[in-house]
Order: sequence, then structure tokens, then C-alpha cells
Amino acid sequence: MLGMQHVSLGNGVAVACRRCGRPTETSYLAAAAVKDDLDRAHAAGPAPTLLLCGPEPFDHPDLHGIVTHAVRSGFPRVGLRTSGVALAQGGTASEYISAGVRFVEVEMLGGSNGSHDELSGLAGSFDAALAGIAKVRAAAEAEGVRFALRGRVPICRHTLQESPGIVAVLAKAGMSSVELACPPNMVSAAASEWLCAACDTGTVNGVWVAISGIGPESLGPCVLHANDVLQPQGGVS
Amino acid sequence: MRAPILKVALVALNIGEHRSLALGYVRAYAQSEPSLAGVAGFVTLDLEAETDPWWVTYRLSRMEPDVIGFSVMCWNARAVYDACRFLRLVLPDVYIVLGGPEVGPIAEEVLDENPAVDAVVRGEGEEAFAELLLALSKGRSPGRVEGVTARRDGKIVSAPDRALIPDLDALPSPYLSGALEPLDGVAYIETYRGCPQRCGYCYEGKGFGRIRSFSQERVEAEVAAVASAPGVRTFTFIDPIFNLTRERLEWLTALMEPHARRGIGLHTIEVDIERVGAEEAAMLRRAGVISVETGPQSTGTAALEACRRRFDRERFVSGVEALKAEGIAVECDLIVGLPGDRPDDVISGMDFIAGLDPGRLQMSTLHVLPGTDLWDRAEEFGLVYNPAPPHEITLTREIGFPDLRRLEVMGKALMEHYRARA
Repeated sequence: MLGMQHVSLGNGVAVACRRCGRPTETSYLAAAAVKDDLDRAHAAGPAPTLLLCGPEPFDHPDLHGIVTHAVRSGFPRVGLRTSGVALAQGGTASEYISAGVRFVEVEMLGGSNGSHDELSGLAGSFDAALAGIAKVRAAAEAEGVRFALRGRVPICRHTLQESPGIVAVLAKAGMSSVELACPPNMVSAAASEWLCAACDTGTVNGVWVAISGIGPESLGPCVLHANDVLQPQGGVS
Repeated sequence: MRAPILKVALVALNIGEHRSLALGYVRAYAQSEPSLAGVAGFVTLDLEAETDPWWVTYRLSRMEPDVIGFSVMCWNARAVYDACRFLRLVLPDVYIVLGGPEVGPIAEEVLDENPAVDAVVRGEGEEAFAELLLALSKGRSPGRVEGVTARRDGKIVSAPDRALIPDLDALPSPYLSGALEPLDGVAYIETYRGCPQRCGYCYEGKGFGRIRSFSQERVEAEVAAVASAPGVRTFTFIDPIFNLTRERLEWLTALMEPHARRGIGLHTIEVDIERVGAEEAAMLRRAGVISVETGPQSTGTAALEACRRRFDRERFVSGVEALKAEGIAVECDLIVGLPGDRPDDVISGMDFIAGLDPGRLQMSTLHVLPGTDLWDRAEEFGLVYNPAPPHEITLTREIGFPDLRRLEVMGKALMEHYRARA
């Protein structure tokens, strides 16, 4: 379906489960290095969607310049993977919609403020993420631009049982799709049942839920959810 | 006893700001019919399909009509039936007539299931509706009018089918007669009726048989009227295939080109994209075409065969590329739930159209429409659908209910992600 190139802003991730171990230390590439990566990705044949990933993008000192470079390079859809928290702050959401961001992927670990805040180790981050999602939607609407939201749930043994609730929250927040990103070793009947429950929650709420990381043979009646509308294509990370 | 003049209200429950071209034709014909001169007076009411049926009833009750005619499509049928039920309570003596592709092929069932409705006009409605009005004005039973199914002495009776109108120019133009005002973006021009294709899910080819065209003079006059109407910047042609023949495309290009040069655009015209090459695409651009709509509806061999669709992948891709090179946006349509398609076929179709980057993707769920081949052959194909309008497919022999719903949601996500771009 729609190819998506990942270009990393550095080392680390935006959101990680604290109970699975401390989040990795984060470090950021210099803007010039990221722009070189963007140029290489574009030269390789730009995918329909570009996702700037890695550590929290809004903590990069020159994110605006990187986004502007990507947009000017001609990537049709420039997206960011984020905790969503920064989007709630000041005019950040409007600034990046104006800069050309057309796609935001928000990572969630829990379906309530209690579980998400505890698993992420960031007090208040659940409410802030939802506020950020609402703000970026409003900013896109105000600018009259076509914009899409996606949720991402890094699945681990702590987030697995949260996944149906997370999908419900993300559906209500206006996501077009949600990715349940599973570790390759997560293959059990119990795990499949939780993942299927999350997929069904998405279906009844009109949101596509895709399962990545494990083979379709493990998904039983939810085998269709091994298909995603956004699919990795090349990329530099 | 009826007043000497029949007050006739024609009502359409439309999507958004659209206006009913069908009612424009019906009104223009009836108004020009000499036998109805001084007998019937007309008003047209275009409302949105979401309008509360109580409000539809209120508006109509204030008009105190003798006859109400509704244009019925699959997507507004439930709203029309609701409005009819309320209207019967408020206006017990009003004569309610339905017409349109949703009700014509199943006229007797519609009357049986909707006691508030008095008659259904089947097929082309212009002549039949005018004759029905004449019958009412003379106190005769409309049930004897060809092409009409009506109640008579407590029974539902169908008069014989009416022959298709041989000379379309006999139908007054809705625009030239003043029956329909051309509005920006929602004006449609029809240059012919019928369709050379026989797609199983569509009633165009089945209901109207051979192709009958309006004369070039008539179309030229309509285009001049619509393209020069105040405020109109874009309009469209409602023909099933705009590029029906090369000669026709050349004529329409020459006709539209002067208007295109002063900024008038054509949106969402339907094309046979496998017959679009570089020359045809350039002609379409010169004609002011901004966007086109096309298939493939499915890329699955079994579904294409069941629906009598042809699909040449190379020619299709070539057509899309030619149009894109001319700056014309292409809307590629897929239907979820066609007989013969398995889930993998639907996903392959999504992959195919997304890979073309055509400009717009449209995923729809199959509606098994009255009067179509799929309606007639539903059992043979193992199609289970909602008998109530809009007749959405529930399950097929190849795809169960849960997977159909999943594919719908996947298609919606694909459309949303695709649409979001700089």
C-alpha cells in the first residue's frame, strides 16, 4: 500500500516501557547529518510517506529546519513519531502544521492516565498526549490541510493487556490507524487473543489496527491485521 | 373534490448541496406538456438527505400540495420512506409518487411495504409522470398509465412498461427551460443515456439498453447556458463514459475549450481510462478537465468476470500516467464485497491503486442495487445483503461478515492516509 521511509533523528525512542528496563539513553544526530540522510532517502526514490523517528523529535534542537528540508525536498507526506506531549505546548502544533507536517504518529503504552504514565515513567504524559493530539487536529483544521493521525503501541508483556483500551482511546482521539508493534518472540495463544481484541476494538470504532513484528500464522482469526496501510520502504536509520 | 389546478411538489433529498437533475427533467417535461397547461403548477424542493423527516413534512405541509413526487436513490430511500409515512399523517389526501432507480425495478414491493405511497414510476420518468398527472387531473386511475405501478381498488397494479423515449431531444432541457438553475460545482449535463458496458453492480447499462444521444445542438446550448451561468466555475458531465468514442471526445473538447480558456473546469467526469493515451489526456486537459473518476473496482480475475468488467493492467496504468502528466487528478475506485473477490484480492486492489498515486482513492462497499445483474443473481453468487436500502453487502461466498467489515475499515484508513499530503 503506501510505502513509508523511516529516517531517524538519533538514538533512542520517544516512549518506552519503564518496567521492561530503563529507556535507552537518547542522543541526537546533527541537523546536517539528518538532512544528508533525507537527501539519500529521497534519491533512493522517495516513499509516499516519510516518518522522522528515533528519540522524541520535539527535543531535537533543529527539528523545524529538518522538517522544512524534508518538505522542500519533495516528500509528499512528512510525519513525526512522538509521545504527543510537546504538541500540547504553546503554538508547537500550529508551527509544525504550517511547516508542512501532514502525519503524526503518537506512541501510547496505556489506555488510561494511570497505566500510561506509570509505564512511560512520565507523570501527566497521557493527558498531555491527548491534549497534543487534539491541538494538532485543530491546527490542521484551522489551516485547512489534509492531515492524518496514527497510533503506535510498542507491545510488551506490560502493554499487551492494555492494547484494546489503548486502541479505544486512540480511536476516540481521531486516529486513522494504529500499529501494534510486537517483539518477534511474542507468540502465544493468550497474546493473540489480546491482540485480536485490540484489532476488533479498532474495527468496531472504524480504525484500522495493524500488527507488526509477528507472522500472520500466529494471528488466527485476525490474520487480516497482518496487513498495514503504511508499509516500510527503504529508509535510513 | 380536487382544485382545478394540481399543485405538484417535486422533492429530492440530496447529498450536500447537490440538486436533482432527474427532477429537473421531470419538471421541464411536465411544464412543457400542452395537456397539463393550466392544469398543474410545480415547485421543486431540494433538501439534504440528513434533513429530519419531520422538517421535510413541515415544509411540504406548508405548501399544501395535491401531488408530491420524490426522486429515490439507494442512499436516500430510508429518509424518503420516513417522510412519506409522516406526510400521510399530516396530508391524508395528498397523492405521493416515487420514482428513480431504487424503486422502479421493485415497484410492487415498495408499494406493498410503504402504505403511504400511492404510485411508483418505473424507468424513465418524464412522460410517465406527466401522464400520471393528467390522469389525476381527470379523475382517472394512474394505474393505467404505462410505466406506472399504483394502488387501485385496494390492490397494487402495474401497467405495462413504457418504451424508452426514442428522441431525447423531445425532452426539454432542465437548464434551458428554467426548471433547474445551474449552480457552481453541482450542475450536471447529460449528453446520452445508456451505457455500452454491462457491469453487474450498476443499473446504467441494464435499465436503459442501447445508447441514445441528445443532439449536438442541444448539448451545445446546454453547455453554453451552464458555463455562462453566474457563479459557475466548475460543472460536470454525468455520462457513464465521457470518452465514449474518439469522435465524441474531439467534439466535446472543441466545445469545452473556449470555456476552459476562461477558467471553467470540469470535475469528476467518468472515463474509460484504458482508452486514454497521451493524445486523449491532452484533449481532456484542453477541455478543462480537472479530475476524472474511474475503476478498476476490482483487480481480481473472478470478480471482474462475475461483474462483466474488463481490466487491462498495463493500459490502466498507462491511462493514469497520461492523465497525471497533464495535471489531471484521477480518482481510482475499488468496491469491497464483489462476488469472486477474496480478502487477498481486495488487498491486492488497494496495493494497485495506492501504487499508482493517482490523486484520490475511493473505497466503497458493494450495494446490491435493484435492477442490477447482481440483484438478480445474488443467490447464484452467494451474495447476502441487507434487503433494506441502501442494500449493503453483508457477506459473500468468499468473504465472511467480520472480514468484510475489516476490509472496509482498512480501506477507510488507506483513503485517510493517502489524502493527507502537502
